[in-house]
Amino acid sequence: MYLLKSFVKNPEKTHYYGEDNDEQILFVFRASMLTIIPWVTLSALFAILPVFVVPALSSLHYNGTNLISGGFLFSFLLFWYLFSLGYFFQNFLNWYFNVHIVTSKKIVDMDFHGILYKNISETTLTNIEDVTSTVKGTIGIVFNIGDVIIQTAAENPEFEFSKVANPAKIRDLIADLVAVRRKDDPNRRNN
Amino acid sequence: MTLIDVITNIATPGGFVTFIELIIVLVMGLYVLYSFIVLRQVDLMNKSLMTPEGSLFKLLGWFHFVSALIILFLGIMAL
Repeated sequence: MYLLKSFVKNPEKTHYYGEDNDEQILFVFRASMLTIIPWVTLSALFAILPVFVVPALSSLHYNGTNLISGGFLFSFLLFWYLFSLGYFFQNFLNWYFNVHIVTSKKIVDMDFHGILYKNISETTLTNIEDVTSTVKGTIGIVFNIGDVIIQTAAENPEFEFSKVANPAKIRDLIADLVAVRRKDDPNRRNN
Repeated sequence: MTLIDVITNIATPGGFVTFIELIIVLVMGLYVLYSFIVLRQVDLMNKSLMTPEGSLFKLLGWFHFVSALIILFLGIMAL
């Protein structure tokens, strides 16, 4: 169970589209858990809001009768909670599926934004030229959150793992894997 | 109350509230469409990355879509 983990080593029963038979997923990275705080807070505020708004709406009267019927107010309340759930669900899906996968052969970068954008890039470990980690800003320094930028010799020259926790550790893991892979690769051994 | 009645009475408090209720029901209808797109998105995401939690997301996606349909029905009935 790694529903809420932003760093998973050797994940079980996890595969990606296009995975080779002899390939093994070694690491799965997501944006740090701290990046979910803004939309989790907003979802909580959405859930609390009816506590204040509904009594005000139900107290609206005109000519001695309620302006908004109880039935409609109830269905609107249900709709509001469904909207809050939908907002949370959509954001959670975006966080959960925006993953960076390191396998025994490749790195894969999956980007989903909103409901209408999907981008998946991959490159082999032997194509990786340079790995850089950056931590910047107050929040980045305090919580050790930053970016890992991977320069490649492939068509897609740069992979970026954004807002990951402990970027230096990720950089080190990838660099070590690349070194091992290059050592084993007969085409690269003499370079 | 017909749509013409709603428009002609829009300046009165009751007519204005009915007009707002109609707009809300319209938004509920659009939300059903959105929840269907989310359902398709969950399917697409699950195909891109297969995890043990995939079935849970699918279930939540269906719950979200069916709930949106039920709430739209309730909204129309309460008008």
